[in-house]
Amino acid sequence: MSRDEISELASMLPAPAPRQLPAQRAQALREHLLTEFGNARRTAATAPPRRLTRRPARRAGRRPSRAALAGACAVATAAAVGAYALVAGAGRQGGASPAAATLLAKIANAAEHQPAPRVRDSDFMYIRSEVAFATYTNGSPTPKMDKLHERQVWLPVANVCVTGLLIEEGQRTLLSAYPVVNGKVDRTPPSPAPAVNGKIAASPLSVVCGKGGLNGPTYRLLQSLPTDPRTLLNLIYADTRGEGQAVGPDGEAFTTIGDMIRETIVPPRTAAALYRAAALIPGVTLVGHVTNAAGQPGIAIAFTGSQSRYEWIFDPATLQFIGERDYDTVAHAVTGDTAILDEAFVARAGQLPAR
Amino acid sequence: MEPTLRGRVRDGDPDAFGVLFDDCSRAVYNLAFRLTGNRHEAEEIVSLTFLEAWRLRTRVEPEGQSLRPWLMGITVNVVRNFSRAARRHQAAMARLPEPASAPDFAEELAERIDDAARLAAVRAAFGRLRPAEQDVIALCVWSELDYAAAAQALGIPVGTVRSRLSRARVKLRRLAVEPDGARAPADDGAGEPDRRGEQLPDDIDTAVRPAHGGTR
Repeated sequence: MSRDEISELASMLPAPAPRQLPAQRAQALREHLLTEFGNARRTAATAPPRRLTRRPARRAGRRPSRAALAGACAVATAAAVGAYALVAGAGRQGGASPAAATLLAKIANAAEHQPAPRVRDSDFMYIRSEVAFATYTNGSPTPKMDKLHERQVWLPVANVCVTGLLIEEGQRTLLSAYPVVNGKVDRTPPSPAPAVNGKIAASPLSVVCGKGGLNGPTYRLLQSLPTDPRTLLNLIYADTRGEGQAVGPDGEAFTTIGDMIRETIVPPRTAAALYRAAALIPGVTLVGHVTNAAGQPGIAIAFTGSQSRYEWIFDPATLQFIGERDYDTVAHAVTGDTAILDEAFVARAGQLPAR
Repeated sequence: MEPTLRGRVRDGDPDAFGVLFDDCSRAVYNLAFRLTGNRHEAEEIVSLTFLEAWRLRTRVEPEGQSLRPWLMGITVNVVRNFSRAARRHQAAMARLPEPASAPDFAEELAERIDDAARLAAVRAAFGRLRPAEQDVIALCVWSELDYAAAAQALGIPVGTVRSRLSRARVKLRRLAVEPDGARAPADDGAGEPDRRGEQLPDDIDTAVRPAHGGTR
């Protein structure tokens, strides 16, 4: 029956005409990839596989819009995609070191007792921070830090299809689940009205509106997460299954929680649940006496992978999250350095909070 | 003894990845284009697919047939989890040479000849299917993988490939009867992007529950 079925499907849904990468472009990609692999191999000869330093989830790269949008896809379609699907989070053994667990319990309690702000769907989360990140140029094993600079983001509270804003190093970038082309949000209407000539921004794959995903959450998504720490952690393990080879599932869970507290405002109950969930992750440790990018002294909760250590920094007095630091433990160099300076809900993207 | 291509891929031999690129990059690009409908994205997905293949190389079984199904499975996952893949390989992607702005002439011509209206109709019908159904259509019907290879690519049982195809066929027959974008019947809501977005918390829930009927 299979041939008949396939033929019938092919007649109902004929394959779009085959496209080809222009030959020159294919050659350029091939060369680039083989260079990457060759460099990785040379690096690997002296060190375990490098895990790329995580940057803020919505850090504007070449295509800032995609970060916010496809995080939603990742969660929404997790059930549909074989490799990432269908794990009831296996209860993992152990947990954070006793010192880290104690500190996390205190941090969670402090977070839980913060007042819950009243937030409208139309509001934006505003976060101002100071950041610097390293790049490994041309596969060099030695990271090079860029200059510490201010970064401001405005992120929608309820729907990733609402346009946000990033201002960094004098550049204004729109953040949207839709493609941003030449500084404009391209909201080609959804199907069934596809454009022609292969420029179809309307397929359900392209944009999923709504609350976002674990790696690019809106405030409403964070509010909707389970507040039981074990349930929440199982959800995170399930969503990140098979990822993070160099750090393993525990490191991946840790960095995913990092994605949720970084450049967001976390509702008190969710924050408490996230920190309590972190206390259940094996390999989480405490690092005393660190400073954030603004020079504020702090105490850190950390996870060490094969080559890097990721630290969340907290004010030792207020137990507020005040920044992050990433450290390359092979090159002995800081690769990420941030400080949160200000966060608030505001009514419009681009608006500064009232003082 | 001459090591196999699979063995060399496992061992991280860049030249073996060169062979893989020569053999499969066209198929990967076409699959990506058909799933996204966008040439620019398809190109990024090609790069991400091979970067992911490099990362996951040690999972390749030393014995076996062509690595094409494996690569195409990675492609589907990259399409479905674009931001995660893009972020993981952010440094490598940033080093990627920018594409030339003008598409080359042959490509332009091919696009003009392509029947735009038909393509639009196909995209509209395809968009009404669930992602899981789109994946099996793209692999079995458009990329001509057999059921076993598609099952391997997607990491699902062969029976699941069959049932997804059957379901897609039934749905498409129904769509063929009510053309011109008539609203889908009530049981068909998952194909609509808005609804899927709005339902996120439920979807998170189902993502950790194996017995979600809609993905079978």
